[in-house]
Amino acid sequence: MMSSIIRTVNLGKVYTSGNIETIALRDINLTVREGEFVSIMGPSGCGKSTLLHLLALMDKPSSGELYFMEQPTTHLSDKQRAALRRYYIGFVFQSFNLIEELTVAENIALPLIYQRIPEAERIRRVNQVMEQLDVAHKGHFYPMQLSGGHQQRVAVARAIVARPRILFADEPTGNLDSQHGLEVMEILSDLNHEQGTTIVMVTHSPQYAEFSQRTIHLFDGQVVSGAISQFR
Amino acid sequence: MKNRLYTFLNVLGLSIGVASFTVLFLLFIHETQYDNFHPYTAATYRITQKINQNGVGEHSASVPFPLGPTLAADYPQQVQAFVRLFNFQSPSLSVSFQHKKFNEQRFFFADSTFLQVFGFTLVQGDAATALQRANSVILTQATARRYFGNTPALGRKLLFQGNIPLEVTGVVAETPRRSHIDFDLIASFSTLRQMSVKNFSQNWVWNPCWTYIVLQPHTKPQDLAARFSDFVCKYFPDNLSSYVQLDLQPLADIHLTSNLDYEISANGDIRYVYIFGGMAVFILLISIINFTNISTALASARVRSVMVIKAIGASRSDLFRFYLIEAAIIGGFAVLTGFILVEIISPFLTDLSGNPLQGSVLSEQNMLIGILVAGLLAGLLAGIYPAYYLSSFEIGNLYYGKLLKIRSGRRFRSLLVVIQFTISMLFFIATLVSGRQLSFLRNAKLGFDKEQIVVVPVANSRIAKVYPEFKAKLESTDAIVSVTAMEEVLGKSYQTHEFYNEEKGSNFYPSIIVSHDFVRTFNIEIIAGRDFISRSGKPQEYDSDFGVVEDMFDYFDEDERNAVLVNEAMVAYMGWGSPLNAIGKTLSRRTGNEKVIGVVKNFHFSSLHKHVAPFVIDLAGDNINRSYIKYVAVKIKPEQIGEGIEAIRTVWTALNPLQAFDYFFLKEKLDKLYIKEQQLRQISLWFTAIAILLACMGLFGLSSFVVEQQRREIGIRKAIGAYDYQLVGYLAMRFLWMILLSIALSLPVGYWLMYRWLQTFPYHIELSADIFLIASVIILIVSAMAIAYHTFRAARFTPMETIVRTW
Repeated sequence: MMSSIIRTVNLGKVYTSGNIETIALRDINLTVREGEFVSIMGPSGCGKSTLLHLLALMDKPSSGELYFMEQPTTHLSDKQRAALRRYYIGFVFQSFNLIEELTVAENIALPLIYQRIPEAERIRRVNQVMEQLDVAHKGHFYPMQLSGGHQQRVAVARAIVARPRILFADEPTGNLDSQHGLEVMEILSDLNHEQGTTIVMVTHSPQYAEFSQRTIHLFDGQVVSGAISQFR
Repeated sequence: MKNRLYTFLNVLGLSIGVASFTVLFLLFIHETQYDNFHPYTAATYRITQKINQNGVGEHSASVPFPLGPTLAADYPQQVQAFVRLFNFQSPSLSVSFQHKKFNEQRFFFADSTFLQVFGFTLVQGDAATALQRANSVILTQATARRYFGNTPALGRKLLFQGNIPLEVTGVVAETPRRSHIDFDLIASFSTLRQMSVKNFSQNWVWNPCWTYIVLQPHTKPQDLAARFSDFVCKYFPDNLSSYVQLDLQPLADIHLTSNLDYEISANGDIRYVYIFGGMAVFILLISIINFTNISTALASARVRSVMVIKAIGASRSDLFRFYLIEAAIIGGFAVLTGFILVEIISPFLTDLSGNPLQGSVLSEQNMLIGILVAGLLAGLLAGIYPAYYLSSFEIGNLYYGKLLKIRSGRRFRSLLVVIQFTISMLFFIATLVSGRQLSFLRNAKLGFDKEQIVVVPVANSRIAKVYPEFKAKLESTDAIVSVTAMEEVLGKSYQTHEFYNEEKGSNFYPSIIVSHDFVRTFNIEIIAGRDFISRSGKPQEYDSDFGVVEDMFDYFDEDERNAVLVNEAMVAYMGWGSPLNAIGKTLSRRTGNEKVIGVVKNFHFSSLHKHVAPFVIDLAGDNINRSYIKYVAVKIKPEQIGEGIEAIRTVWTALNPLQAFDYFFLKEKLDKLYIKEQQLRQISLWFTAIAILLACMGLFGLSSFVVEQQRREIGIRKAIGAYDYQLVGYLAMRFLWMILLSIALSLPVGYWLMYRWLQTFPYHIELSADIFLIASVIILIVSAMAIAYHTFRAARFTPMETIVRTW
């Protein structure tokens, strides 16, 4: 059986604004195993993105424990969490979140810079991933000069260039038309099948959820189905 | 809430800017409006006298007694009127009323035309006649209160020097009083006839009279000046006339441009006025830049509302006008706050000489209007860019998520920050350099002791007559080390006296006439020969307070008759070779042959604003020539200063009960020589702090803006795995490059300006690298602190907070 890369125990998230507490997530218990492609679905406001951010170590839970590669994470410092993100995690945002002052190639190279990969190796890997995602000819362009589909390809390229163990995607097709959406889904699917990258994706679309092997359904901050992996 | 903070910072910044500008402007106005209230300001000139004999001599603000009336009599076509002022060249003159005794430092005798030539007005008395009769005196309101309280002053009789009555014939209004002639009492010149001064009415050598003339209408100053050489030849003694040059100095220029020997009082300095003007403009500029930068930064929070207003149908010009008016209102509010600040601090303001600044902004209508207009203009100027910027947003940008991508103007803002910090750096460098120069001037080794020395002004007092007794009694006191007398305050001023020898003929040399123990009291180093020796004391009685007892030298003992000390510069000037070689050389006075008995190491006999020149120390002796005894210098044991002063007071009161006892510490007096430098340093210190504070407030606001704009990028970088410190470094560099550029720009400019400034001092510090290093490091640290808050805060957010909150 593949080892779990992510396991949560009673994970919860509460937002406080003034005296008002909003429970975003409650008692989340789920497991993601190495090599899985998991979708998270649910109606708007059910806590999908919040969960994804917690799983990707971009936010801290209010309660419970998150095990990343079997190690508990809630006691980790910001720096240790940043290190985990840097070396093991990739993230694709719905709105691409490319840095506008940097070119396509520079955007993609950013994670490698933080990993202090030597420049020659960096260029090689950036070129390689640009080829893979068919944006090699856009390397010197600025994000504003690209279509949405191309921007998301660049975002995916940036997310995978450091060869993360797990890739999180927050509605990666949300800002794209159906054709570009499909393209992006195929890229993610290929990554999972061919390179064995674990993928956790939030989506609204049952059609795109079909690309995954398992779907976790959330409702009102709680998991209603699909929490336990059947993946072997 | 946050916007309120920045609006507050914005208004506060501009208020401080306006307040600083106003204060500096007040100083500027104060300094530039001297002597502009006289009836014939443009036609009134002071006559100055330059004596230059082979590079040695003086340039004096005063001229001989007979010069004024003679000039007026000889050139009636050119000269309409003249006024002389005279004060015996005495540091103070004793005046009493009943039991009240004061040593008046601003007491002058003046010709009867004084109130016609100058615009001082009388609140009591008749200006036309007030100074006509002998034994008349006019005094200022404050002085009248000092003597007579609130009772009427007119007709009261003061007593001058204990025996000459002076009837009050006028009381001078407090304003307008901004004049280089700073007086408390003016007595009629004709009063002098009762005193021995009458001897000087035909003396063309001694030059103690500040003499002003009013030219006839249509007479040009050069027309009169062209006749001066004939005039000098006709009246000045033959041995002097070829070296004397007379000049006309415009009355209105005296305060700011004149720095001659024997000025009536310390004048201002036009260079410092320019510095204040420049500082005023620059500080206002810094605060305008702040306003612009913070307003533009605040604009990012208003983009959405601007676009909504535009969508509803407002045109760009409507918006531009709206935001400009808004800026002007905030500017106006800031000006008002600035005024209030100035009114609060104005009682603490002083001019360059350390005197309180008269009046307030509100009391000077023209200035008030000027500054109000300047404030409004500043508000408008500061508002133009934000108004243009805000009104330029296109509605289309509302879609496409461009709301927070307002990058246009980033370069412009960066440029503004660079200007601010360059100015701040320049101020800072100037403050450090002027501070060190001041400290250098104050602490420089003068070549004589200035510590522990108490100076007692004794001119024209009974103490001068009984000096040997005074000295003997003081020296018998345990606390007192030694006592000497001199005609000027050593280190502050000197006289010029005529000496003759074969090498250079007859010359007027900087010199001082002293009594025994001068060298010992001041601890001046003798490098060749010996000090004066007192061989015998021959107490004598003289009738005259003021006369020169030239025919009495039969009584002088050897050194008093024959000996002088000179300094090294004199040895070099005479070409005597070595100091040892100078011993025995002749340096005669009209009273007889004198010989050099010793050479002293060069010392600074006047302020460090002047090079050390050839100098003569001449011994008058304790028993003769009391008119030279103007000051007694008493060296007190360091641990017994209080006892020493009490001892002097006791002896003074015993010997001279009619006159108030006055004294000062030599060091304090000499420190005052650098009052202008001190004031400059004080002012530059304050305004540098303000400039840096303002610039940092601007940077604080701007960093908030930039961090806000880059929040998403920070989140993305965090998501990718950037550590906090990397983000702090990344964000900090977005500002620090501007600071580094400012430093790079300001260093050469600052070096050049300070080098030029220091060159105006004969004795100055060297510009060392650490000055620039300290300024750079402190500016870097302070600016890093200003940006630290926002950068650290941004870097500490979780990536999710940073990204999500942007959308």
